[in-house]
Amino acid sequence: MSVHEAAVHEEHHTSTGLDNVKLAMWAFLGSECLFFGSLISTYLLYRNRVLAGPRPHEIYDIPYTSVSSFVLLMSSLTMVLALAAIQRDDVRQMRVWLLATAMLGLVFIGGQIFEFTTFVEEGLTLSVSTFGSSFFVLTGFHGAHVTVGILMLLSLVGLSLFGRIKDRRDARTVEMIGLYWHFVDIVWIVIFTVVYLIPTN
Amino acid sequence: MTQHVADLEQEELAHHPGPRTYVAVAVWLAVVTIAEVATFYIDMSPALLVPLLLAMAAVKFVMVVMWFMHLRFDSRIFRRLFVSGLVLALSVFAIMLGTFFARGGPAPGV
Repeated sequence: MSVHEAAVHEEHHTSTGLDNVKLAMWAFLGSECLFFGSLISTYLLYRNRVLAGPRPHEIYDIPYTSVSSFVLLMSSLTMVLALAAIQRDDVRQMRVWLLATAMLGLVFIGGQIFEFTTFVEEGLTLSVSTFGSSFFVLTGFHGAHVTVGILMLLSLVGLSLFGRIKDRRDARTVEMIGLYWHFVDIVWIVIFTVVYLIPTN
Repeated sequence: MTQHVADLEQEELAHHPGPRTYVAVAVWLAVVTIAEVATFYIDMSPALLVPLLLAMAAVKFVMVVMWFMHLRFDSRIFRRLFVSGLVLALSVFAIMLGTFFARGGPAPGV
């Protein structure tokens, strides 16, 4: 057994027989459900409370948001393909899929910045109404999560270039970042339906 | 113990699906998304539209969690951890929203 293998096995002394890091990641994602749940609930409470500024149905551009939702959804595919590649010891292909995921994430974030700019020009700001506040806080926090995800993906690419991720023994690191990325995607699945598609009163 | 865990990890990886399955799941996700957006443009009662849209979002959510996040193939402990957080969130916020709307909704906004 190599020194690296010994170090990997040393990390897995657990009472559950499972990797503690993965267990912690799932507990973290469970807690994130509560975080985004509170923001979505607040939006649902306030989206019809508009005394000034535009109303939701006057401002949302469904075809545009549908395309950016699709882009984020497909980034989940490229992410899981990156994991499959490292599980096959194919570091080069993993790097390609990770960069593709980061690029799709950047396209999504670029789209969100454009959307926010358009909304502000049309009179919907953070302080114009409680609808504006709850909308920008919810989608802004999601965008911040995507941005953190992009930074983690690019860090993974950097680590692989320096030989810190080189074969299937390092797949767990890619899997953890992947779990975070997929979570960000499923949160958007809910936001896209609840915020954009479900009609307001 | 450590060897046992390493074996479990290898077994876990062996049960993960391959790229072909991932692409098939992504195609289904794309189809459901198109159906979702098409449904939005169909003129129907909100009483029908809202449950339909929520059902399609739930299908997409479950597909990503089960296949891309591997909850279908991994240890049940992970599933329990995530589902606990999800159920707790849904319960707390259903009660909160129910309480607010039963009292006529929140105070008018600015």
